[in-house]
Formats: sequence, C-alpha cells, structure tokens
Amino acid sequence: MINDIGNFIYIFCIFVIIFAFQIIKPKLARKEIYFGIRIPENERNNTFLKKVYYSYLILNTITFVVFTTIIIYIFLNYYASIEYTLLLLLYLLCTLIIYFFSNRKTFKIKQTQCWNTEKKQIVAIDTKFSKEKSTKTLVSPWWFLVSVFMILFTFHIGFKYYDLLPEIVPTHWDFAGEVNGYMRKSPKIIYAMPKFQIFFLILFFTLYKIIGWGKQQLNTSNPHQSKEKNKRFRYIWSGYMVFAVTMINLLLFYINLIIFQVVQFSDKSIIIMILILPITLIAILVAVFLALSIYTGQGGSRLKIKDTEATPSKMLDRNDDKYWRFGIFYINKEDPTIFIEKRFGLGWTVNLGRPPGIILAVGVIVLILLLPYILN
Amino acid sequence: MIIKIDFESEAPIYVQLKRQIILGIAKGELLQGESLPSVRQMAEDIGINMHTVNKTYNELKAGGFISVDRRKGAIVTNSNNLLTDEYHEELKDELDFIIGEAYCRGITEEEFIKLSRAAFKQYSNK
Repeated sequence: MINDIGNFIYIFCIFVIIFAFQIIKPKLARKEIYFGIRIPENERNNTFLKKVYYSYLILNTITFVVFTTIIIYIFLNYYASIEYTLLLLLYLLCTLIIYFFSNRKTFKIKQTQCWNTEKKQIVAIDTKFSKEKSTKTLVSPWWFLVSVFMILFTFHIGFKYYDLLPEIVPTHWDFAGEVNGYMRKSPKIIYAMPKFQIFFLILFFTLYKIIGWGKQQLNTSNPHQSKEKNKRFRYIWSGYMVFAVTMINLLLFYINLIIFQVVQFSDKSIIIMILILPITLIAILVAVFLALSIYTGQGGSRLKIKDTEATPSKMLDRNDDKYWRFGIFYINKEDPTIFIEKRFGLGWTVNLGRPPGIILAVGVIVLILLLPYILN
Repeated sequence: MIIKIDFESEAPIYVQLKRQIILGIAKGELLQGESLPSVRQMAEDIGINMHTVNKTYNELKAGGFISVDRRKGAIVTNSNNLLTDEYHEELKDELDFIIGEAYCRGITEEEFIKLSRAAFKQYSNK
C-alpha cells in the first residue's frame, strides 16, 4: 500500500513540475519571440497576442486537471505503474500540441497585422563574441574535477569494503524502507554506482560544452546590452551544470556508502536516510532550475543589465520564422551552426538542416533507447 | 565590433559584410592586428553560407585589408600599404560616377564637398 502511495506521489509531482514549467515557459522567451514567432518588441502587449496566452493557459490547465483526475482515479481503483508512465508521455505530447496551436495562432496574427513589412530585417553580430563565448564566458571547466575525485573516492570505498560484504547485498529499497532489490556479491557491485557517476559526468560536461558552442544571438536594437545578458546567461547555466553534476555525484556516492554498509541505520531512521535525503536533493536541483529559469529567461532576456543605447531604431531582427518547423525544429541548410537557442523554453537545440545536427539528434535518440542496456 | 547585416537589402550580403569591415577599420572599431572570426565562425554567427563569407574575406584580402593566417584566422593588416596607384584609378572612376549622378540630381559642388568633409571627420576623429 505504502509503495502504491509513494509511486503515486512521485508521478503526481512530475505532473505538477511539468505543468508549472509549461505555465512559465512563454514568459521566459526573449522579448522579440512570442510562442516561437518573431514579433516586433513593442507589440508584445498587443491584445490579440494576450488572448493567445490566455487560451494557452486555459488549455494547459484543463489538460492538467484531466490528466491528474485520471491518475487519481487509477490510484484509487487499481495497482498501477506502467500506466503512469504512458500517461506522462501522453501528457507531454498534449503540451506540445497546445504549444503548436498557440504558435500557429501567433503566426496568423503576425500576418494579419502586417508586421515585418516596412522595416529592415537585420542580424547583428559581435566579431569578438565568438572567441569569448566558449572560454571566458563559462565557469572554469576545472570544477568538474570535484566530480572526478568523487568518482575515484566511490571506487576506493568499493575496493576497500568489498571483502566485508555479505553474500547477498541489498541494493534497492521501496518507499516503506523495505529492501526490494538484491545483488549477489560480485565485483560488479563495485562498478554499480561509478557507472552512473561517469555517465552523469559525461552528460553534464557535454551540456556545459554546448553552452559554450551555442550560436550568438543579439538583439538588433540593443546589441551591446543583449551581448552582456547572453554572457551572463551562459555563465550562470554553465555554473548550474557544475552544481548539478556535483550534487548527483554526491548522492550516488552516498548510495554507494549505504550499499557497502559503511553507514548503517536503525529501522526507524532508514526512511529518512534512504528516502527523504535523496528526494530532498533532487527537489533542490529542480527548484534551483526553475528559479534560475525565471531569473535569467531564455538567452538572458530577463536579466537586468543597464541599457547602453536607448535609441529606438527602426530596425527589426531578421524574420527567420520559415526556418522553424512547428516552432520547434530549426532547419536551415545555409547556416553552418550546429547549436542554436530554442524558440520556446530554455536552452539550445540543433540545426536539423545540416548533417552534424541530424547525426546528433539521431544519436541522442539512439542513446536514450540503448541507455538501459549500456548501464546494465 | 558590431556588424549588422540587412537580409532585405538589395546589396548582396557579401558586399554588406565587406563594407562594414572596411568602415570598422576606418572608424577604429577594428584595430590593426585584431583577428576576425574564422570563415566558418562568421558564417555561423550570421547564419549564412560559408561561401558568402569566403567571398568577402577573399576580396578584403585582395584589397590588402586583412591577411589570412591558417592558424590565427583573418587578421586586420597594417593600413599603411593600402594606398596604391591601382586604388587611385579605381577611386577616380567611382567618384566620377557618384558625382555625375549627384550632378544629375541637382546636388551642388558645395553641398557635395560639405558631405565629404563630414564623412572624413567621423573617421579622423576616432
């Protein structure tokens, strides 16, 4: 029973987090992007556009309520686990469709309002930025050494305490604090946690590098200010990658201590130590992620940085909507860029109009599918 | 320096890019010895084909504004050697045409010289 509740609470939290992020996403976009469509900055408060946002809010809320009602119903009537995951995927698909509708609506408004017809369409770049962005703009890569040391230390614990292990080692606990997974004693157990640690280290280091590689994107009417914002944005998120990988490694190190029975708990405290502690850690990671998202905004658009030139120019950023299929996929054969800022949400995506981008996208999908086999 | 490319302009992108780099050198926004992004990097930043940037860089190189080093990329060269007899000819030809058109449209000599002075001033006051 308690496991059923645990499972339910866990999936319910994921739904709430996704819903919350869906709601704030439109507010995170750059000032000149609205539901993935480029608009003149000063039209942002246009009443037609506001309506798109309201219907987006309403549709998202309805979907969220419907899905949570279904999972509550399932929870009260059946014992379920795989159903939750399927519902979660279905929910993600629904949020995508809602976004796509809002994207199309915004596109139609842009056409009927005839924005982008009289003004110039400018792309502004800074010739110095590309050199700075992958080195000086990010926090030092040496911080990843902390994680490397933690992995080595985890190995050390494994080798040191291996002999003391019983023949059958508990490796997994349920929500009640009861052991529900065992491993037969074998050297495999030494690599169980470091395997995950190395995986996360590679993953986060790659994400860190991508932050440096991402294409520079400046606001035409205020290039200097938007460059500073973008630099700060990259700095903060590269710092988050270091923070996240360090926390995850710490957690896995801690689990390793428990598996090797270096730390042992009484029956009473085991729930706190095995359940509450890891969950708190993950909650902190999610909370910091959401807080930083709101603080920085996409590309640093929400950061407060002093205006350097307040001359409202008659220039408009280049209308590049045609390269954004469904407002999600960037397909531009001419552009040699590999990583480009997403139009909706936070972070970067790949250019699917070029072989490197396609290979990367396919590679990531294959990797996700193969991951369970690689790590087992 | 900040480069702005207009995608709706009638002037081809490689010409716009070339002009902006030359003006950047004239205004002192690009200093001698400063390096420009590589062809690939510049194409990525603007979001255009690498051939376009290559064309610009080749013309700038032929004009003596930049030198292309395999390791360091494109570097702004010393502007002392830019004044050639060839350029004198070219300038005369182009001015002839520009003044001719201005004359047709009714610009007076004084007005034209005034404009030229103002233009020169913004480059010498760097």
